[in-house]
Amino acid sequence: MRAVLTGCPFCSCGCGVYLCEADGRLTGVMPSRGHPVSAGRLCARGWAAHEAALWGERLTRPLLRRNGRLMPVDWDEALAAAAAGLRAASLPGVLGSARLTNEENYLAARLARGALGVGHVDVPLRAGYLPLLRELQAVPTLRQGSLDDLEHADVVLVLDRNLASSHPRAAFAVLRAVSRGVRVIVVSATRGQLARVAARHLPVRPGDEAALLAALASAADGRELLPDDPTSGAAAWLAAAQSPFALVASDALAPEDGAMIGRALGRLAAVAWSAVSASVLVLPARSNLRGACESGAVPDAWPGDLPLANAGARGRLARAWGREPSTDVGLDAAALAARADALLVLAEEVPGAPRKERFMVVADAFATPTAATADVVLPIAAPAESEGTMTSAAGRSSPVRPALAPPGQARPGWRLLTDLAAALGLPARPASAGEIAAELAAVVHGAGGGHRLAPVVSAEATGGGAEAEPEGVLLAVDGHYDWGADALVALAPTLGRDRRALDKLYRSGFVEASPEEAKALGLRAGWPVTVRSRHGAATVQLALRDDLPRGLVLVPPGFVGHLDRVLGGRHRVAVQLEKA
Amino acid sequence: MDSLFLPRVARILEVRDETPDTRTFKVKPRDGNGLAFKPGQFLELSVFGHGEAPFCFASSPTRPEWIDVTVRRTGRLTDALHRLGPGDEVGVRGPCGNGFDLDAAAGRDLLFIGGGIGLPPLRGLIWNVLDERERFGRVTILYGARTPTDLVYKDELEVWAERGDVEFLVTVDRAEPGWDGTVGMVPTLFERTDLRPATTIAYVCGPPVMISFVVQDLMMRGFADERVITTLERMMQCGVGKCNHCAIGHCYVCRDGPVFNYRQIREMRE
Amino acid sequence: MEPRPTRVIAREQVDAWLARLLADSQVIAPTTSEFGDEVMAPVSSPAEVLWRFTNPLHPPKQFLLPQTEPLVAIRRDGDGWQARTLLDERPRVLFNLRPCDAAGLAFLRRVHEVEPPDTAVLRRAAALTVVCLACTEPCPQGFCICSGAGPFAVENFDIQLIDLGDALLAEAGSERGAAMLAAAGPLFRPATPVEMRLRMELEEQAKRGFGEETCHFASAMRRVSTGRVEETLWSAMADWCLECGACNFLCPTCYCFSVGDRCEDGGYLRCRTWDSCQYAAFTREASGHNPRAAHGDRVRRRFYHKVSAQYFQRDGAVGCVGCGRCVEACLGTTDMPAVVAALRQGVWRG
Repeated sequence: MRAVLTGCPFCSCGCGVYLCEADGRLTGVMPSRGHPVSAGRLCARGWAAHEAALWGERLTRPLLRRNGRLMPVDWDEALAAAAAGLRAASLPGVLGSARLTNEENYLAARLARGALGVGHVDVPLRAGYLPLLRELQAVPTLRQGSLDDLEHADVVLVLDRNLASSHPRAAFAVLRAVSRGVRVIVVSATRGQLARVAARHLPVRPGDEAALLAALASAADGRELLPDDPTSGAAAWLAAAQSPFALVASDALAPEDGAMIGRALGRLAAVAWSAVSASVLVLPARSNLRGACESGAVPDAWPGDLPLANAGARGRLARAWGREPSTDVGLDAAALAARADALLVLAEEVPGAPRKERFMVVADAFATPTAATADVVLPIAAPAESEGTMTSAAGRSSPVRPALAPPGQARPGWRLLTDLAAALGLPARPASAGEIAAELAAVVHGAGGGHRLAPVVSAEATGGGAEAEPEGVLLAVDGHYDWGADALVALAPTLGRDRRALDKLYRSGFVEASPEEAKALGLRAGWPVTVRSRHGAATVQLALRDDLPRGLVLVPPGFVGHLDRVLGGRHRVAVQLEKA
Repeated sequence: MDSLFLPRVARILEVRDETPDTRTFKVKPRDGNGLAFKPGQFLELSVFGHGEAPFCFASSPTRPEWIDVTVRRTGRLTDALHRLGPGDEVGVRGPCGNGFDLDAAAGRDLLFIGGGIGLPPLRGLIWNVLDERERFGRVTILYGARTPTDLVYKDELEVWAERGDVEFLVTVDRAEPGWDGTVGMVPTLFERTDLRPATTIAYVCGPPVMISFVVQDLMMRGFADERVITTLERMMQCGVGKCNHCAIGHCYVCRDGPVFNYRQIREMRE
Repeated sequence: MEPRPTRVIAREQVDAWLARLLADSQVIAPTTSEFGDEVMAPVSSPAEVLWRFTNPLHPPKQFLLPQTEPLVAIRRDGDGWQARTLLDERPRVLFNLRPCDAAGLAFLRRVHEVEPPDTAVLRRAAALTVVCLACTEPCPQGFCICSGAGPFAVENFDIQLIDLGDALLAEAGSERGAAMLAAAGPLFRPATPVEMRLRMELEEQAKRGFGEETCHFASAMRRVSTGRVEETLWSAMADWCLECGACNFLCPTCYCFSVGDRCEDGGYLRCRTWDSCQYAAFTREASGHNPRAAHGDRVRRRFYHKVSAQYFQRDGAVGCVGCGRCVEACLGTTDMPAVVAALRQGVWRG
């Protein structure tokens, strides 16, 4: 019987959890009282951190597609086939993962830039997070804050979607702050749990967040003080704050808007908080998104989030890898999913239909729908069997420790990646996760110490966000990440129930609207509704939600497929609703 | 010592299609022993590899050669069950629950009201009553479904219709070509029979909405709430009053029910 | 009540006694994990046993009802499907358990005796030997005195140890406990009258250490049992709960579970797994209908089960031993003392 303390594999709050093991099987979890972030607490997902690895169907043998069917082969043959397919491609890409360790994402970058000689490496979800984070990191008056800092702030500004569900540990910090009398201002499109308990809720239409922040900045600056404008009260608090804290759920914002909103928040900070100690924390959906980005699994930077123009970083990488790395800015995950003719997919799902002409190498622990479409399947360890580090949203690096060995012939992800890079001709071969961590630290920090250079200014940062949608009813995607399809949730008996119930109830899709909206349309819960935009139309069922305002209709990320025609590839669009 | 959760292996003897999505499975424990049950009780049926789910006994203990279970296809487990046929094995665990109190019904007039897939729990009770017919007063069966295709036990409905010691009336919400019977919801059948609230016990099973309308109608016609009997449905797992999924207040539907009279239901508190 | 066999063991002898216990069965005690937390875990030497510790957060109920417990093994052979009961009744000594946890284990045993009894759980409980360590000072978050479960145990133990300073007083609470003391022979000697008096004083002192009562179950029980709590109070509370389930998982008297079959080695294992009445999925039916779809209804359910007179009558005790774990682990502010106070006052303040 062993209990191993590891990082929780779900969201990015950075909690710790013990995985309990007996006789080579996971038996459950235990909280860690001494852990600096979780301090004895766990959310529903944390309490089921052992379930997927114990209950889920696992990939245990390398598989190769022959005559249309995936057949078991040995590792050497699988690696050779994968290497051959990637080498032969004209546009190969590597998708790292927010579910893998820092070391594994570093190795993904190494494989792309070192072994394949391309810059086409990215992590799905990066686009909705990193541009926003970089903007805020560039603001001198804002320091990186932690959830503890939040509880000791005097004013807290939260850009929320549904932290109570997406990041319970962070929502707990907000609840505790409210109960201690901290002035909490929640900016959100829906009147959810945090909005209800907060001192102030500022409702915002998706797409108007930057404008609201600009209004707050103006009001905080003393201009345009309208006494009955709800924002002015909040602005006064922000202006008077001595230790303000801004908490941003990045999945509340359309990915295209991230940089713009980051700049708007930066300007608010500059106006209101230039003389005080202000903190900010951006919470991305998935556990190691920050770590994956900072370890180099991005198309526009070196490991360490160092600019590709940084010659010192390039030199250190060349020495470590034994080869000159590619300095190209590569295509991002969305473009690679659309255009790459060979893809290495690590522990991720590739959205959209599989493309026949594309050579797919999928490395995962679980038999996912994406793995089923692969040409080569490489079985790797689940998070409960992995070793390395991950980085929380607050930038805290914590260890990932294996509670047991991966089953069958599955390998640790880091080992697969070094083996595959070797099959592609990259000479050096680290022998342990620890060695990789050391190499990563050395190439990131070099001789200059632990701080990063100025953040990259990428093409997205100069963008102005998505084009504005006309007034009227707005259909928006509710968040960035489809938790229901995440293997660690879907395969967990306790956690997977909610999504299965939704799939059964809404076989042809659904949207969520307020009861008032439904009444105005003459519709009841469950009835079919036609949703029409300038791009197209679709008929789905109507679900009711009490926390939605009139004029806003939401669709969860997992059910976006039914509304592809309507959304036209965007995160939000103006629509008309009709009884079907 | 047997675990409370140990299933007994049973063989499927026969499968009969009732409607496009509903089948009746005749099963018998492989060791040849029966399962001593009362109508109104339920069993936990295992489809090996897919888990376990509760289904009511649809047959009568007066015909113990087999057990009938009528199952509608609604999800993974029932899908898997519907793919099984005669000779295949399933697990049975039970009987669970309290069952109908036949002794309390002795001498009384009995009114059975079933809606759609609600007939199976009543069917076991009806055959039990018909097999001991002399113990009971008048027997009236009112049954309704959405369409003629949705009627279950179609052959047996004819048998009931033809028996002289039973009054059987059937209706559908929506007719189909070839249907020349009554059209309307189940309460419309009340007008066609002579209801005697003072001497009758009413047994009502069907979709929750239907039960609600029917029970209100019966109350308005003077039925005492203790003499309106129904079955409650809840999410169940253990079937033996331990896991707490089916708890309503301190009452467990799997152990103190699923059969309740309406007075008990009125007094239930979460 | 018959006088209990009461013996005393000198501090220096305790490790020798532990060594004997370790030779005969698995001993589970508070110990420091390799990662720094104090946990209840099997120990392999007396030196690993902690004597001064904060009650570990993960409750010892995991040794009676594990988070994942295989119940039945199902496999297919030439003759068809076979199902077989799995039973773990390995002898285990739970050592230095706190009285609140001893009360919790006894509570769980009683609820599994209710018809039909779960014999597997009862046999596993019978294989557990409970040696509890009385609390001579109240722990910061505990309120066991309100539940009658501490600071010294009155029942529910095989042996209760009381720290007298240079020695430990050991009182047998069962035949098994008396036999254990007898079997330890010369390691123990009879308690002197002075030591008995000291034991009584230590108990009184511990009780006084609680100060004012922190948790008025009686009045909360009255209101919950008669349905005299406003709906709005429950839904207000629900906004301060994040449905993590920790209150159920860490509670020594909670035992809700789900049953599922998982694949292993070509067959299936039917397992019992911890579940939480706070999860929306807990009561959701196959049709999609959910009688407790509203979060407030689930919060109400939890406290009805813990604190109602109806359950008190069935289970013989209120469903709370006052260990305080929910206070520490709640991912919100809806711990037992806070809710009981709100029920009494009719107001929730968050």
